[in-house]
Amino acid sequence: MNQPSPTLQTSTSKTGLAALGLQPVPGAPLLELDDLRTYFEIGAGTVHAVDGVSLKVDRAMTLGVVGESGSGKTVLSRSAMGLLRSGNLRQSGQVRYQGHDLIAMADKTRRRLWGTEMAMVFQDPMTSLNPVMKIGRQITESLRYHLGMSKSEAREAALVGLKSVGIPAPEQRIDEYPHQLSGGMRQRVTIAVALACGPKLLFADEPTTALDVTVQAQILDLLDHQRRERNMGMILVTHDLGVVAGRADVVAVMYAGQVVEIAPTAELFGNVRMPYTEALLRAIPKLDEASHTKLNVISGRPPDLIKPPKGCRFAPRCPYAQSKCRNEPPPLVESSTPGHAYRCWFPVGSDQGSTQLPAPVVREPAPDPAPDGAPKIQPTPPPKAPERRITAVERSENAPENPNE
Amino acid sequence: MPEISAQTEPDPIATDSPDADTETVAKRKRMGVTFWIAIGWVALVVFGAIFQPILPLQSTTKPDPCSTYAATMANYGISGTAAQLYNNSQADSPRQAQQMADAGTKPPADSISACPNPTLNSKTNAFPSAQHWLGTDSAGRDTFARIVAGAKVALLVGLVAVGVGMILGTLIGLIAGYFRGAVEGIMMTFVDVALAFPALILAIAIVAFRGQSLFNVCLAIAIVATPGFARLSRSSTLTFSEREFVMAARVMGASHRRIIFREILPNVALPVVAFYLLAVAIAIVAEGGLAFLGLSVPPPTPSWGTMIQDGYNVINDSPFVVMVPSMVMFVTVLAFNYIGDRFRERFDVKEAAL
Amino acid sequence: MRVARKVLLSLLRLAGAVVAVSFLTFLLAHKIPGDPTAIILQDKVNTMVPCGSVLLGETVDCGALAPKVVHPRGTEAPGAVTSVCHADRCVIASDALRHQMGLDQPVLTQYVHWAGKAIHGDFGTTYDTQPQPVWPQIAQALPPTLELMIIAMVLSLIISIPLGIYAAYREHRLGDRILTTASFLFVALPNFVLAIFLIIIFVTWMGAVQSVYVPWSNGVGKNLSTLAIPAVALSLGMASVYQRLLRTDMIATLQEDFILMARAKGLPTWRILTRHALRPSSFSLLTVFGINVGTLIGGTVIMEVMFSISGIGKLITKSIYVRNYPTIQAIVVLIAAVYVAANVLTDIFYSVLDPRIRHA
Repeated sequence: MNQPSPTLQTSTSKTGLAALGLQPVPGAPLLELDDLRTYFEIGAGTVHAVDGVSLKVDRAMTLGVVGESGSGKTVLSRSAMGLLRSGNLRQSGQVRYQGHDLIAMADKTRRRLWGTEMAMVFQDPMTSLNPVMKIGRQITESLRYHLGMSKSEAREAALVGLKSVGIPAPEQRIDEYPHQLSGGMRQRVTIAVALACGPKLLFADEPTTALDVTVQAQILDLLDHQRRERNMGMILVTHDLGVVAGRADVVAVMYAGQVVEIAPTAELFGNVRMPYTEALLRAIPKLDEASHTKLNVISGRPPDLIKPPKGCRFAPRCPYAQSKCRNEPPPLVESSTPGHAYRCWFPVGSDQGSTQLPAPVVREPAPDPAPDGAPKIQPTPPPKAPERRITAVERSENAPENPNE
Repeated sequence: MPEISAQTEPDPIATDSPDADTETVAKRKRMGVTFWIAIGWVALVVFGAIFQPILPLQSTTKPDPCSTYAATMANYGISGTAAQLYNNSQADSPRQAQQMADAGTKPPADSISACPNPTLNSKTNAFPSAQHWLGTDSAGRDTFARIVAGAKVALLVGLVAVGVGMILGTLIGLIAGYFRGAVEGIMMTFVDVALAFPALILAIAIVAFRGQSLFNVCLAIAIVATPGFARLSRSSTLTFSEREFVMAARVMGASHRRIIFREILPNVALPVVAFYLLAVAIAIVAEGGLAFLGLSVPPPTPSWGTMIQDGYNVINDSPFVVMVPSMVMFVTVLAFNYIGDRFRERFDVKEAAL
Repeated sequence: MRVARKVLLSLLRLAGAVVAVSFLTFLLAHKIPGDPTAIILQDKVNTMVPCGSVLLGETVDCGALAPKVVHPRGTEAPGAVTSVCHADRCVIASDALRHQMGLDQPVLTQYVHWAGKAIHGDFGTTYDTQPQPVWPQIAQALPPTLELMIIAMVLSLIISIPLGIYAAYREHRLGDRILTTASFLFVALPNFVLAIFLIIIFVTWMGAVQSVYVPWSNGVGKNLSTLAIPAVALSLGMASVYQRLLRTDMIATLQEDFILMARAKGLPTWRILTRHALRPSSFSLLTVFGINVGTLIGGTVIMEVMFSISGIGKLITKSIYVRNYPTIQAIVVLIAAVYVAANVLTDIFYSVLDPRIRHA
């Protein structure tokens, strides 16, 4: 587990930015989103999937992006990397990688950075590996393409890579197909694939959602270990506050395409300002509660991203909402703690905030107000295994299946 | 899955179908101009086939009465009257005939009554003219009249013979799919064996062994078409006979016949009709294939296939002769294919089901 | 192991289907009017057997009666060939011949007898004036047919795969729309009509020479030039079908997560399309490709007749005209075997394409 990234030693040809003849801009963060907006034009109108997000990631740092289904967190990570390509896509703002704007880059140019400078681990290892290709080749093809390795060099490197992500007997596994591996093993393979060419930035898009609870922690630990070892920046996208709690340096909470609260992790958990974040925290079941305690759920459903509410986007579901909330969109303001910003007129714990208000009423899950097919929030069943982390905002389809780990 | 709802999820690799959903809904409501052109063409073919005997068309079997004179005109470069004189032995040489014609000599009365005014338009392999709208074939027969008469064969082979195959095959499929068990085993074994055999070869064998006639061509097509319909209707029957409404009918004590024809058949009919439209097109082509092997309707009855085969013999000198029936067959097949396609789209019949 | 079992099962199915098809054609050939002995007898009589000579072990006795027409087996069914002979002698000779040929045995016995010999490659002799063994005839006709079929199949794939990939990648754009329309037209274009159009364009108008088929031994270039038009005529229709199928499947595959993952690896588009998307998208194409072997055999027969290629198609049509049952029978079995073999190969190829089937 302690070998340094194998690919970095063997690579002789120029890759990534260097291959494009670009130098990192001194002082620029690894990745910086500046007022990123990603809209989709569909028949019914414009979907504001990501609506003015500004974030920063540096090397060796983990940024957690938390939000429920439909909050735009996956679109955010994909558009930050520049993976979205569609005729009905409209993007504005800047995504600067080491100071160079990715959005302004030609597709072909940007592609040279994928795999070598930045990589992505996807949610479902069942579908993100090519079912008809040996796992070895899925790793070696980018090594051979980007780093110009020979067949045997690439194979050696892939074996080292598989070993470093904790695949037992890699000499045997390398010639197997994805369906011959368990879910957790497959996710390890996708991580090996993503890390093959030694990227400096890793997007992990719900990397554990599709996995069995018992392996979720292992995968997160693996990601964390690799990040530290390789001095990578990581963006960890999840719907689960528990996932980011121990692993992210900074956490950004997204709601309806916007960042509603961002803070260093300890500060966020210790000093919640945004009622939405608070609601998310409440929705985590506590181990010390009696086993049949009702879970706190956030009633209602995320707003329509075609016509977002004109005031605070969370106002319709916020137990503290007042008329100002419904009419004026709150700006993202810095709190007294450096690095802690939130979007709320009446932040939790402040003078004008909830202390003046009656304690939040935790409502029973309301009879489903959502029309058929619309994303909705459902309470997950009470936990059976004590170590299981469950969030109320998780969509039922995302519930981990048993991948025979 | 990603967060935003399915229709807004961007395609992974450059595909842009901005509002595919609304588009198809709009398309479904209107069938489009092309569809009505296709329907119009098929209607025209059906009209020609039905009313061919009473339409004022030229003979489909006898060459233009002026064709021999036209040939003489073309060969010697003389006038029509001169050709009549020469062909009826009124002159010893073409030149003499021309001189006699110029002098005002009249050809024999019977030749004038048979062909009052010979022109080059009457020669064999002629291009279209007012006399022959689509020209003449290599025997000097009117191509237009033969095309219209050929439509009759095309429709008998296509609509009728395939129709018989459809009824037979659907019955087999319904019975096999409904009763299951040994009945199904025996029937489907035969169907599979029949399907395991190249259709055209089977049709060739049937026509060759039974002899060349319109009836035998139709019989061959009907036999060849049957197993496909049987397999299709069986698979639909299998799915529908497990549905609640069939169960309900069974519980109510409905007879097998009633369940098969009242409950299952209406549901099986849709894919069967979609397949029928496709099969008609295939059958029209198959007739052409048989014609090339000399196994379609016996001459002088015209069919599009035999016309193509006839024209193929003179393709180097007069490609137009073979072009006309080829185009007619192509357009007809195209029309049936198009109607079938739209039908499937309209009623959402899966292509895989066929 | 599982693959081996699958192949074994498929082979059993192959054997079963070939037996069923050959028996059915046997039945068909022997139940129809037109006694094969009559053909032989007629040939013999027409070439004139003098009175008193020995025909098939029987003395031809002219006797006092004038020659008359006798229908074999007393049938007057349409298509029956009448044999001209003398008094009752003909009937006796016919029966003797039927006995000699084993035609008086029950059909099943005849079939078993025939099949027993066929397994060893002996398909009998033709019913000709000068009987010839069947197999050499077929062996001689096989190469041009196989060549034409293989060229047409390969050509159809060469055309359809790149166009299918392209159309899927450019879904709903101009290139895709043009291809969709073109493939619709070509599906409706019968192959002999396409051949006619090609002859008119290239031979009649542009003056290219369409010569009679020459085998490989006379030069590969010459050989290919004689097959160019029939091969293209056979392949374009199939290619259109394959292009459509591949496009549909490929559009679905391109929505898969592993394609997004391959993009995130920074691979160029063409590589993603060919290495990642093509294989999982080719199952429908493969299925129809297997089924199409039957259609292709039919098309090849027509092309052989149109272009005077002395292959299997020409041989079977010729044999049908002269009611040469042993040849017809042999070819029919051969075609059935090829067809079923193609389907088995398709099954095997599935597991090559998809490792999940192999391990399932």
